[in-house]
Amino acid sequence: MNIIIAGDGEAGFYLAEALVDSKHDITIVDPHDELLKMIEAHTDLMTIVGDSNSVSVLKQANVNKADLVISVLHDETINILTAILAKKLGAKRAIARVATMENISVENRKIYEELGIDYLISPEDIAGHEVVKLLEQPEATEIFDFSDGKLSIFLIRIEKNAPIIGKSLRMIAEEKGSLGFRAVAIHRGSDTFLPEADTVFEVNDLVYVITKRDAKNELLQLGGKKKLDINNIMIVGGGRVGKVIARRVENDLNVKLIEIDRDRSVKLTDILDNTLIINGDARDINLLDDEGIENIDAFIAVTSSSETNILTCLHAKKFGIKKTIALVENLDYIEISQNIGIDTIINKKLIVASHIIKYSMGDEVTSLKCLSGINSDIVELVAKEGSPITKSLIRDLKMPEGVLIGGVIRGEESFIAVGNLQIKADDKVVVFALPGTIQKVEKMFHKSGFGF
Amino acid sequence: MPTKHLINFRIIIRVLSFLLLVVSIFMLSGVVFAWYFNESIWPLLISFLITGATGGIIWLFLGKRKSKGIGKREGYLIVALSWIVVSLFGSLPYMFSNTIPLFTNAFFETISGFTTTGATILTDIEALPKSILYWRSMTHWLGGMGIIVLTVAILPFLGIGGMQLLVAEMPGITPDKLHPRITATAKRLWGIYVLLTLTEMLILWIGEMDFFDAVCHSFATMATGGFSTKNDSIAGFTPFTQYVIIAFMIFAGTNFTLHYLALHGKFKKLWLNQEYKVYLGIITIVTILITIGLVLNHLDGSIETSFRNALFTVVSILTTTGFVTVDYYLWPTFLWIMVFMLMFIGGSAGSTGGGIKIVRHLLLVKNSWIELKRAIHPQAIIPVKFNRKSVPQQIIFNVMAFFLIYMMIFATGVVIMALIGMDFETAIGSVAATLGNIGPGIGNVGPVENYAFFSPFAKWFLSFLMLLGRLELFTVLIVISPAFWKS
Repeated sequence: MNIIIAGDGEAGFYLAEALVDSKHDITIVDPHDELLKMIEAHTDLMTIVGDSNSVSVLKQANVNKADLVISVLHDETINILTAILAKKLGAKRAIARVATMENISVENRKIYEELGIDYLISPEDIAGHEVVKLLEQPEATEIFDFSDGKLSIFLIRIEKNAPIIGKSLRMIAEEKGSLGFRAVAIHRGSDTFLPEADTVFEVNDLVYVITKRDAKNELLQLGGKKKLDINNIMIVGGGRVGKVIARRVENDLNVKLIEIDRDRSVKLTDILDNTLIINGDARDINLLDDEGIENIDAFIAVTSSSETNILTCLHAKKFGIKKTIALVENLDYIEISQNIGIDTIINKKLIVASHIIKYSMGDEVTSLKCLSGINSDIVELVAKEGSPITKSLIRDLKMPEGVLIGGVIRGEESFIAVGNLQIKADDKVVVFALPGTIQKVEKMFHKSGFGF
Repeated sequence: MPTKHLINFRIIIRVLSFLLLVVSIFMLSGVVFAWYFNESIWPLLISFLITGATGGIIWLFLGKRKSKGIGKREGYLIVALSWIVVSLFGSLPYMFSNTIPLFTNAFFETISGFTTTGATILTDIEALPKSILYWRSMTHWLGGMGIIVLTVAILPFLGIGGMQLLVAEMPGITPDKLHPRITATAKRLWGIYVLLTLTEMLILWIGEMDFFDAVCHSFATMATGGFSTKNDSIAGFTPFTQYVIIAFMIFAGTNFTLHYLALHGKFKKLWLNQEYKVYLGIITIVTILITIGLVLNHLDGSIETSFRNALFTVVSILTTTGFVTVDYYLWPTFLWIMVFMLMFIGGSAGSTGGGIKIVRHLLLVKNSWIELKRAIHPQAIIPVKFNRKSVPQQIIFNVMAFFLIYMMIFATGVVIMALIGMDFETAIGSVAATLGNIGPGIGNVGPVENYAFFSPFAKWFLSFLMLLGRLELFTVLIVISPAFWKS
């Protein structure tokens, strides 16, 4: 697939790197000469220095032959213009990143579709939603729903008192009989691996689990999680993400929002009626003390500075806050942040990638989630009639290395993948894939079974 | 020793072994000619077996394992080593056929072929078996577009590492990408190369040449090599053939990106390319000057002959091909000095030509000119512009360094050649002609002479210069610099 990515820095680069791995031809357009040189040195793609909303630059990028044009600059007007121009110049599909939620509402989306933009994405909005979801299920580190939550992926950190410590998957299965969930990957230290029957769980393992809706409580109990009640939350940073979160939860929870900029603080009071807006610097401990940080249940740091977010979260941890969430833009910080005890990391680049990469894949991919920090993906795919995946029981399937089937959604029902389950046509299958294996997974779901 | 090695030798050996496999296949192709012309097929067949088996066995032992990618160090080392290794194995056919029994001579002839220099140690070319002559031209053709580029085109596992290799092998400042994927870019470059070669082959064949000569000469032309199958090079062929070869030498000395654009109908881009305009400009002006000089001195008969000889010589030397229709060393000094100067200009970036390259001269001249302006307006920001884009200072420094190193190597080379007893003209001629990958020089290595009389030391030294020139100095110098081997 020919893909053109218009970006201004990291979001575009991350996307480019993710897509290049799955054998796409990538051209990246970016105004920054130096950054492009760097990415070109270690990635197999073409770079064009220039503004993506210029027709001549787009033509230079062979836009008429592009299957997909993705514009993810920070400035949404450029993105929208780029997508419209690209479409008019012959690109097959166009995606634009936007800042505000109102563009994404159903009635407004039509306008953009008429202009030729196929898909709009607002990473800030999605980041906000992810945080809200975590506030509803604060025991998990990361949550992603497939098919409206018929199956979910939970990332949980194994606590010291968890009953499964020292036990292997096989032992747990023997003890509990059939389970409504299944561990698909374990992140230990800096390694990510697929669990086998003999894999023993250890303290502080980060475990990715596919779970059915009704099995969540049992899962959390096994992971040693106590039920957390979230009533009081503190948000640091009144930018787009902070605003989205506050707006969504201010009627149900007690929300305090700390914003450093005075003008912005004042503006926020217009939008947020039930949130207490505090104008101040969250790095100031006295301020946190004054605002009663010890009574806070969840601390959410979403300023534009990753460092501030990490540090204030660490601070909050010191006050004994159970749930800390930090917005971290630097990918290299994610693992470190997780290791030093921040519960959840939100990263906008991964969010963009999660929502866009599926458009570069076949239509059998219905949903995809890039997992923070471990560079792997969880994919939901539809099994095509006559595809290799439907040919035999899961136990007998020859799956590529580094790939694990987590669960199956069939109509309104969902199943956890076990050896004697037979995948049928039109089933939605949730698969965990280590880096570089997605391509092979896709093949298993195609109609023609070449190579199998 | 720490467990982390500075250089991943496994991947280097792996690429080299693959390279040998590729080269061995091309050796095998010569057997067809040997069989057709009723010559012994053994020299090429045995060379094929040895080269292929060496490559194949190492590939089998090291090939399967997945290993880390190619870094900067591996890239440079692969490129530098590959040319040496290929030249070692490439000299086997000469030795097995007993046409060039001495290893030093055979190696010189092979590396002269691969680097597209075209300097020969043979005195009677026509005495050689045709299949060996075919291999001699084939070395040109493989080296022209680059054996590494070919490898990148067909080796999928190189991935990003391919770019490292291309940067180290391709002539010019930075290689243009014709396609987002490096493998696809390499395939397109070779595609254009093959297409142009076949076209020339066909035209020459339709003309007076037989099939064998057409093949060999088109190989040598498109690679800007210069090995002919005749003792008197191109002089014995008709004007038609000479004009065809002139045209294709000009094509070969042009940036292949421009061919690609032309094939896609984007002719406008050709005329926006300053290097291309200067390239054609130099050819035109120097040809006119030499033609006038020849006519005024009543040399070379008719005006057409003078013009043709002038044009052929200018194009042949400028593109660093080294075909000869006339002994320019017999011309008045003023005329052959101009030809000698052309040796320092070279072809275009991204072409198969050697030398310093036109774009470098262009940037240096522009920068020098702008220095004057800068002196008057110290506060002004005046970048060097090339093809309507400003050139980063970094590249200007790189070009300056290249030019300086080139000249220093040239000067050192001349001193060394003089030290071992060469006269002045032979010394500068041989160094300029090998460093620039041209072939014929001046003095005792003039257009109708050869390199047979040199001592073994001189031959090895000149071989080294050819490699330096073909890989544009930096690749070889980086590999032999102490910093390369220190972490």
